[in-house]
Amino acid sequence: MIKFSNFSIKNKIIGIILSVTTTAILTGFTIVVIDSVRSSHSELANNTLLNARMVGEYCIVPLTFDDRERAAQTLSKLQTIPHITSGFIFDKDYKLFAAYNPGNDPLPEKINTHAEFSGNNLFVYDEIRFDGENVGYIYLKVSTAQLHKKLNDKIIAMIGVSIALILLSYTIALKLQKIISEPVLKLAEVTKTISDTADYSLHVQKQSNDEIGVLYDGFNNMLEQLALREKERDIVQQALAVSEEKFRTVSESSPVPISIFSKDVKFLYVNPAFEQLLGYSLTEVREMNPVEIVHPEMRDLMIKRIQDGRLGTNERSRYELKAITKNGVALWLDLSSVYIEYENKPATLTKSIDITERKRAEEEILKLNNELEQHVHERTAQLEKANKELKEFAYVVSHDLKAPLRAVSRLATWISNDYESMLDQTGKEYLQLMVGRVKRMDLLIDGILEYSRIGRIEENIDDVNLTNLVNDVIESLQPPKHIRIHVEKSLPTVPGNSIRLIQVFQNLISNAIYYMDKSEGIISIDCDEQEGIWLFHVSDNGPGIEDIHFDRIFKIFQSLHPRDEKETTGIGLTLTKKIIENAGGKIWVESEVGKGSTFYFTLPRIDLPVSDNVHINQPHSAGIN
Amino acid sequence: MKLKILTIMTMVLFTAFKPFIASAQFSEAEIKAVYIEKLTRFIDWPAETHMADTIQPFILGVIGDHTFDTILNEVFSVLKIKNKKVEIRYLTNFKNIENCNLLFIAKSEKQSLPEILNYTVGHPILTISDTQGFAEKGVLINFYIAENKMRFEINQAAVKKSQLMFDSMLLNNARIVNRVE
Repeated sequence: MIKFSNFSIKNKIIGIILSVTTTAILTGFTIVVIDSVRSSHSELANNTLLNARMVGEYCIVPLTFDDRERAAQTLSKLQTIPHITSGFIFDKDYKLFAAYNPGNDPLPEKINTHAEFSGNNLFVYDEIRFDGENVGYIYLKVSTAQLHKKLNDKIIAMIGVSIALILLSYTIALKLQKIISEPVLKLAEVTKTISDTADYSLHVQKQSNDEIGVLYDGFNNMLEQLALREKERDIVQQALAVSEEKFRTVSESSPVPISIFSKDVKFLYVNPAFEQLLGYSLTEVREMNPVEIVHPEMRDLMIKRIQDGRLGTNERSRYELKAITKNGVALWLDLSSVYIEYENKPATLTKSIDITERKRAEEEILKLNNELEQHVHERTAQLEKANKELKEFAYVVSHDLKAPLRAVSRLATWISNDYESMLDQTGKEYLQLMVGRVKRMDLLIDGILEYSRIGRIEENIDDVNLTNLVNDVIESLQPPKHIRIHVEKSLPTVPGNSIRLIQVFQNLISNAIYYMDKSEGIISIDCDEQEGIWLFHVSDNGPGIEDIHFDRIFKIFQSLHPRDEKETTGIGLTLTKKIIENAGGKIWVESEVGKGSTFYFTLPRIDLPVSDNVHINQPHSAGIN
Repeated sequence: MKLKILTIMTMVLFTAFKPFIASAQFSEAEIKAVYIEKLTRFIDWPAETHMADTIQPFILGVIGDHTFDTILNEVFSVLKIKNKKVEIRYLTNFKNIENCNLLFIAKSEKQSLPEILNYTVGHPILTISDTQGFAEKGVLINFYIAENKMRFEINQAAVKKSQLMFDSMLLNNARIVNRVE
């Protein structure tokens, strides 16, 4: 079977055009023929009927007056109409009245229709009426042979014309099909040439701006793209070859062991460094399961990793693996993997760096660190215990010392009151001196008690407005007229225990007042905001402190002045230091002898979220703001 | 009498197609009477004669010594002319012919024929005779016998002058006297 779809475009177009034309011509032809047959038949029938009427009319009088001769005469005139073969007149009782019958036709049967075609004949029947009365009947028999011959001639002529038209349209189609088929055939030819020779530099010359023109443009564009791709592919292939060569060189000479394994975890490649490290040759590893090089300790983990599908994915990964060499030596490897394409298949490239030494060193350090930490813990515990004991000891001692001291004080008072007259001036002075020393001793013990209390007893922490606090402190100290104390700017509100903070400022300011040696003393208090801390400074223009004493002054009982010269317990700065440090701050001094000193101390800055403050609605918050 | 009427009916019905020889049983007079009726079918009278008025009778006059005997009365007691009853008047004096629609002129009136015709020519009266030579003289229709059959001739010039309208079919099928070209 020949399929239409296998025809060439040329033949398809011709076929389509021809089928359309042929259908049109044949349809037109058929319609014309049918119409012409029908019209010539009806024309013949009508003409014959008309003739029959006329002849019939001529026969009315002969029929009326029984004049057969005249009727026959009238009928004989029918011979002038050649296709009428016979004519018969019947009277009203259907008896033959007159006939024109040169061919001796048999008498016709009575028919009901006015005109009837039968075979090659047309029979026409008509009633002859006069004054609304039937007077007879007329029959005419007409040969249609001539008509049919005419029609046949016409049909033959039309068939001839049709064939000529079809041939003409074939010729036209043959010429016109080239408009469409030629560019397509050309395109097909070029396509074949290209597919045969793979020469993408070919082009097709566009001839029209229709869809075929668009096709040509598209084709040319495609060719350009292909040529470009080919060029790019060549470049890429070349680059790939170079890259592969480079990779080969690099990996073969690399001191880093490199392995490549496939997605189903089979070794595809290992470099000499890898061979050397693990003792397996490339041929050997290709045959073995990579899990075999994993140390038995880690095999389960590795198998799980493989099952989870975490190997061979494009996830860049790095992990440490304990491996075992062919000789059974355990190795720690630092594996870093990347997803690559190897021989056009997804694969994983892994660098295996031997970190056995590092691992050992790390373990060593870890061990030492642990030991050290243990030591520190022990020591700290010992120290804490000692510290606690010391604190308790100080408290107990101080407390216990107070009782005998009170007794001595009381005894001194009694001697002073009861034996005043018995004592001379020197005795009185000694007694006075003793009372003074006892008082100082009492103060000292109070100081120690106070010192030991700091950090031992939980204290309330509130928000403290330092501006108010410092002003209160200054007021309570009642500084002498020649000393001016001023607060540089408003001080912040900080969380802390107000009593301890009073002690801090009281100590620093009273020290400054106490040691002031200038006729016009200036003490200034200020605060700077720094990252995470408040930096407070209390400056004076007093005698100053030598550098070597900077640490000493904060140590207990380390007054720089002889006890007799200045009545101090020597515990103030020690207490201050302890309060500051207990609150998480630091304290230090900067000074120049003769010009003055500045005491710096810090307090951790805890920003008070205002909204929280309001939200918590602490009772004293209003006072702060 | 009854039998006779039936015979005429049969004759009227069959005369159109019965060969004359075969109908020898009908007399010449009977045939003429029937033919007179048939001829009137092809002839139209002018409007003043009130042919459409079927109440008034059709007046058939007979002048001269006719050979009809009572046949005309018998025939036209059955037949109608132009759908009207036929009144037959036997005339002796042609002066009474003015009311006739049709006038049969007998052979006996050969002498007075010009006078009669001179009168009828100005009136819508169909003149019929059965005497050779009468047609040439101006009678519109004249019966004659040819090949043993009753035939009629028509004076076409007289027809043209008369006030009657003759169907051309009638003219085409009759012997024409005084043809008008």
